[in-house]
Amino acid sequence: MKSLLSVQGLRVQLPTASGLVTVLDGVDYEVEPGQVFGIAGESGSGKTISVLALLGLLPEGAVVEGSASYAGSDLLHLGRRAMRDVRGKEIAMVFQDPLTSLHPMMTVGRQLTEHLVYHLGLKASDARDRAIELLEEVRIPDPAGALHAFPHQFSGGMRQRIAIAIALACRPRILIADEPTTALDVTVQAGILRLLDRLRQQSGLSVIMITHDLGVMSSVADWLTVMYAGRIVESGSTADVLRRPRHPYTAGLLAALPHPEAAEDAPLLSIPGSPPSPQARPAGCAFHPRCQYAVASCATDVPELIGAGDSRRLACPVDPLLVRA
Amino acid sequence: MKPGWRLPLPSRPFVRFLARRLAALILLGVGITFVAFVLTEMVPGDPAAANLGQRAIADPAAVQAFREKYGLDKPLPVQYVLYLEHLAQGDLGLSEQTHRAVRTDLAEYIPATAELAVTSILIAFALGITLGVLSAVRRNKLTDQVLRVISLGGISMPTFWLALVALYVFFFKLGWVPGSGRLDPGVLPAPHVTGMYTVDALLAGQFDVLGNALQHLILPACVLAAYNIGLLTRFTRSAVLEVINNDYIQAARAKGLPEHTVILRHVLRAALPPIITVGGLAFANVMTGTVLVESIFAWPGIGQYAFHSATTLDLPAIMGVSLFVAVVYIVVNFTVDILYGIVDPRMRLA
Amino acid sequence: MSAQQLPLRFRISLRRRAGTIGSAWQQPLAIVGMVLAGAWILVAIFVPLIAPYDPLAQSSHLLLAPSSTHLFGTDELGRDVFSRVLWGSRLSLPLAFLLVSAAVLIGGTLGGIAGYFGGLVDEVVMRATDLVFAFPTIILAMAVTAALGPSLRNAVLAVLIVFWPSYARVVRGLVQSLGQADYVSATRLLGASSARALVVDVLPNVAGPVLVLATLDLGNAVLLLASLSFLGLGSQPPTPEWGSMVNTGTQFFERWWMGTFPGFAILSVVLAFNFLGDSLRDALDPRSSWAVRERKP
Repeated sequence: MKSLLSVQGLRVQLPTASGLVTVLDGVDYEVEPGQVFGIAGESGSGKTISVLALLGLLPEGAVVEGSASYAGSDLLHLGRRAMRDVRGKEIAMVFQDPLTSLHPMMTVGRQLTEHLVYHLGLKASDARDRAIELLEEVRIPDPAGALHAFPHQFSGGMRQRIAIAIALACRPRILIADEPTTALDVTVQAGILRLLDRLRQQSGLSVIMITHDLGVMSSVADWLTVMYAGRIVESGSTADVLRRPRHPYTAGLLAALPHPEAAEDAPLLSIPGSPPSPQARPAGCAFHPRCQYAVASCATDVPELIGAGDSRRLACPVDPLLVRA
Repeated sequence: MKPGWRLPLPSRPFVRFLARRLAALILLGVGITFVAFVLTEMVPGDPAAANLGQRAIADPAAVQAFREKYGLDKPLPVQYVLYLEHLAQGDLGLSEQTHRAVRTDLAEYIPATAELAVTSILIAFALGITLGVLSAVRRNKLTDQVLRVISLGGISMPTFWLALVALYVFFFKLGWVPGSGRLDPGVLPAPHVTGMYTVDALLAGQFDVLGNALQHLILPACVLAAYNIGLLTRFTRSAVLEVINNDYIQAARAKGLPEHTVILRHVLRAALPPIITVGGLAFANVMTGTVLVESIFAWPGIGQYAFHSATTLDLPAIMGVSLFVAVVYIVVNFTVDILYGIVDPRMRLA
Repeated sequence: MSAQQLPLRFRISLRRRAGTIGSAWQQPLAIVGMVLAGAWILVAIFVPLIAPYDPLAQSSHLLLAPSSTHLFGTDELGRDVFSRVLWGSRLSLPLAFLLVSAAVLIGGTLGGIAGYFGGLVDEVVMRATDLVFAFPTIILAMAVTAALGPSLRNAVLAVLIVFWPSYARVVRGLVQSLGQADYVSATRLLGASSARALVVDVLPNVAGPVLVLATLDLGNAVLLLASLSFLGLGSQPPTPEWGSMVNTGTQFFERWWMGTFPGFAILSVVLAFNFLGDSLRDALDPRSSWAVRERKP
């Protein structure tokens, strides 16, 4: 089956006070229809930038290279008009913090219907009906009344549901969820994830799920891509990658997760050091200063992301974890 | 999860908030008149003699009657209370310069200034907000830098000087506008409804009078607006910049809305609260400006009246003006509070 | 917008503050402002050497248009307008500095006390500022000068009354929020006395916004004094004060040079101070205003 979205060689440079800095250094991935495509990584790994580039929402002065093929056109080289037709209508986005991603002074109804009217040309009454329908789908009580309410009247979890409703209003084919549950309580998290799953199954929606939380990843994502310092270090089916990580970084992330059944005095493991800032990227493999398996060549050669059997891709020539079953 | 999201407008907490604010404002208004009262007491001289003029010398009985009426021989707080009593009956006293009831004076001069002030504020808002948004959207580009200099110029200009220069250039040299007063000498104003010549003419359908009044109005209104245009441009710019990088603006773009919709509907609305605050300031600036400018344009308004009252120490008139100032203060601030509540629904819970 | 946001912005050590103020000098607007203000200060100092005529000397050459002998023409008493404009700087500039310094001192002290001790003191100071803010500036100033008698000294007093509340408010707000700021509490917990905390931690962060306000107020002071003199409530003739000269200019409308040049003087001085103040605000708080630097995404 042909991929829905095919990103090739995506490279992004952002303007800073000291010139252009590379924050995304050549990224390739493919998203299939109906798939939940997970992108994992710490802050600064470039995961959010990669999707902002798709929607043309990078800050002014950003330099973008590569291609992102969707429905026959290259998203990275679309004109402004064409881009607007994609945003919200073909590809929609849910942002991380529901407390700040909804306009505080506009009614929920307005925020739901304004792009419905713009993209689909619906009449006001039809738009209103669709809005109520959407709120029902995301399980907001009293949807008709909610249309006239303002975001601050809702809890964080409900605001995120509203944000999801807004994103899905025009029935996009891809939903980008950028850390959708990070700002929410764990119990509320589960509700949101269940909602996303249900909606996906109903409509064949593809979801690009961005999160640093591997626990969330394991429960929803079909496909997992791990990013570090602007590059993909490992990708494959979620179950496979999490059960048998082959990149030292992925392994480190997993090991750092506190295990609920671990001994009480078991130490919390963490990866020594911290992720590099884009301006201070180590030469060769960006992870090598923190990697316990690093060899001499890791400091000079940038590892290529290559197939490593079983639809897995890996960017580590050393591949130290392969022996482990 | 409570059903029933609809908040009745206005909500109870908001109404209570407004009521509290109104009370505080009224208290402040009273304070203003009291301060004015105290200041007038610092003036040496005999108010009775000053007020009655010639009669004071000839007729001691009249002087005594005056003293008793205004309680001049009693202590200060009592005088003030007496003043308030008179006020409640609508008696604001007699002006020494015009020898008319202060109430009549105010009724005549306030509409003239109001006409000027409102026009000026409208011009200032229209231009100031537009330029401010433009500046913010083209941040750090040439447009922005030029507008920065222009707006700094606007708030640096002495209004009275601008009036002089404007009058010289546009009236004396170019003849584009008439020189002084509210209407040309031969033109009679429309029947009195509000006292504002433009509004009255419009209501009476006298479009020639309307045109004439507008011609006289335009230059002083623009001169008065200059400072506020500068102020509003700057404040709108910073308000918009505060808002423009917020998540919800990015989310609006992500919905695929055109940029002009995002700016005008989403950004501007979020930036309105501080702009409204400046609006209140703008009113105060206009009041200040009228004092300086009305004499140059021979505009018979409260500014001139206030000035003459202050310099001739016409106490009842001064008190009348301070009352006017207090009322304007209350009305403007209260309107700002209400507007806040309308624009920002989160305020309704305050 | 509120004082609560300020501590984070102005949480700067003394060392870094020098750096950020230093960067203000690099902006073109600041340079223009400095040059202009500097020029006027030099004029004010050296005017006896620069001015071609005695500002008070009357002559028979009445109401002459600008020429090579009288650069700005002469006024109704035959006095040289150019010299009078130059000498006006000796009034406006020092008075403006004096005014603003006094306002900062009085207002800042009152505000600091109000913010630090709170309670009744705070209430009283706040009501007083409310009252002053309620009056449109010129009406209050007018009222004061009218009550005390029109003179330059009384005009200065009136403007002082109008200016001090802004500083009281700013300092009070900053003192309150900084007093609650974590790092100040930490200092106190470590044993530093309240006074030390006040001086070392609070003052440097208060200095920034106060400095910005003061620089901008220099311009406002010049404007307000000129306005009062224009109305006849400030300096009295024959003192060559810019505002009163513009006033005379309105009476001799066709002789445009009499009112225009003094007004230009006012404009250029106020512009200079505003350029400086604006650039200063940029340097101390680049996010808010017209910062030349690009904001890091």
